[in-house]
Amino acid sequence: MFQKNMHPFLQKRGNSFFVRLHRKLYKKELLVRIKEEKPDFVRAVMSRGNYYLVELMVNEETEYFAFLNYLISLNQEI
Amino acid sequence: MTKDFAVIPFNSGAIADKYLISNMLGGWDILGENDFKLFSSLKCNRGTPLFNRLYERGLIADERNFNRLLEDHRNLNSNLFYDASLHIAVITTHCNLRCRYCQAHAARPEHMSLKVARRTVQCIAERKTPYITLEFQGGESTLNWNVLVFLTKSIRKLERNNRKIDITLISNLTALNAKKMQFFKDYSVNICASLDGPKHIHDQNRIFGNGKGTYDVVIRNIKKLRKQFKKSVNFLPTITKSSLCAFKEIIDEYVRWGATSIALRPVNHLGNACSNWRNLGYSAEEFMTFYKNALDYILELNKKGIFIRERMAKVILQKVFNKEDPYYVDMMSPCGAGRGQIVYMPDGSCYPCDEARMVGGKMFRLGNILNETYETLVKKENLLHLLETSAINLWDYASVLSPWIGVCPVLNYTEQKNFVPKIHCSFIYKIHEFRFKYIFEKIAKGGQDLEILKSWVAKKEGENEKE
Repeated sequence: MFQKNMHPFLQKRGNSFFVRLHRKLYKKELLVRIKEEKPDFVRAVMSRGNYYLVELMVNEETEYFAFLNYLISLNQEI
Repeated sequence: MTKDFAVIPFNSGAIADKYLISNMLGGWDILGENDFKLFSSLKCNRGTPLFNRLYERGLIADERNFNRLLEDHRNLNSNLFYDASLHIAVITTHCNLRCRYCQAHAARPEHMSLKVARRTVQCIAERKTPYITLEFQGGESTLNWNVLVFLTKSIRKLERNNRKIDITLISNLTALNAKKMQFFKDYSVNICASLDGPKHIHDQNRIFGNGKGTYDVVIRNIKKLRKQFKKSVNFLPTITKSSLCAFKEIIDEYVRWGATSIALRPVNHLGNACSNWRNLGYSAEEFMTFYKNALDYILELNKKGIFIRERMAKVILQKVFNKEDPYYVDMMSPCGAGRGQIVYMPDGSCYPCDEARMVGGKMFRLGNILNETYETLVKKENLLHLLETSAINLWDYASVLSPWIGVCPVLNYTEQKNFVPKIHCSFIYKIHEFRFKYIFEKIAKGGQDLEILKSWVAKKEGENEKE
């Protein structure tokens, strides 16, 4: 599946959470929609090799799961 | 002063503001911060309430309870002491469906011959185990009817030697007629059908060659088996991308057809699924979210009096609460490949597990039963290496889940192209780990959820359940 550049999905750097979304699974359009629809949730979207790196503004695990739920439903629409 | 007891070496991990501790014998407990500090600094004195609790839970040993702890360990890992019990016969690689995620698609499909079937029976008969499960897999097994009948009748005869025999058919249920259904009833063949959920989900992926969905045919045959032949059918869903949002609909569909168990398992990145991965696949984290939502919903249904269990949760709970081995080959360490299960292909070649035969090729192939003995096959170097790389303590030696969790070296290899896995990046391991942690969170929080989870594995007198 992802033979190269394997990274943990969720990373914490300082006070920020980052999720890595592989280009094989997530289209660019999805990233655009996330940025538009969740400006309070997502601080930035960056491109890193095979991945998109999404910086989240979440504090608790419940918010992280809320983001994942949002990601699942959005990913099905696109 | 020397102590007359010992704390068994343990691992620990944070679970819901508490600490889960476990040791290799399967002893475990969840402690608050103060108790955990006392225990981990080995300042736990005999006679204190904490000592008594940990002694009872198998975390502290002395001469009096040591035999009990060893017995628990043997029960939890009883797969280590028996010969292979699960024998998977792939009697054909032909299939009348063209499922979009098919993991067993064969470029040149073939039927198993009676010659290979006879040799398969011989291999199974020679196994030194009191329980044998013969599982028909495919392709669609019912398309090679003569061999299915031969194997079923021959294996049933082994029951005369005081062995318990289970025969299970994994089928798409679209190539059945009344004669075949009657045979399954007469020979007590368990039937397990693929049902991905309600029609609009099932028909997205499980289709005939002409692109038409199979849901209506499957349901018609389930009804017929139940009504005319009084034969129960178990179901198995494959969770694809389109299922992730539909956890309620899938579970409701299972409840609708009277299922008391559902196994929520991810689609594997094998076979046809590879080329359709963008439409079918998801990240492990998405599946974990699905699993969390689905398990919560199942618990809600149980609270309303609707009894349905999640099968993977049940496997975990059997290990954790009952300290018994559910013989679930993916959660053994080393894994059950070649030890707990073996796969016979139509041409007589053997693979150590279902995933390995789906990958195919020479790397995992053990040899051919037509020209080698079973003993030679299971002593092959590639199997020994495979088992070595499936020992959890090699890759996650400090894991608090190590008494119970397993590693699938085949899936890790296909994903990472390396037998030395980056375990915390492994798709399947992340999912296994999450399942355990989420269930332990429920255990730590207690309340009604815990009572329901316990009831899923509570032993009732005379109960002899097989799913």
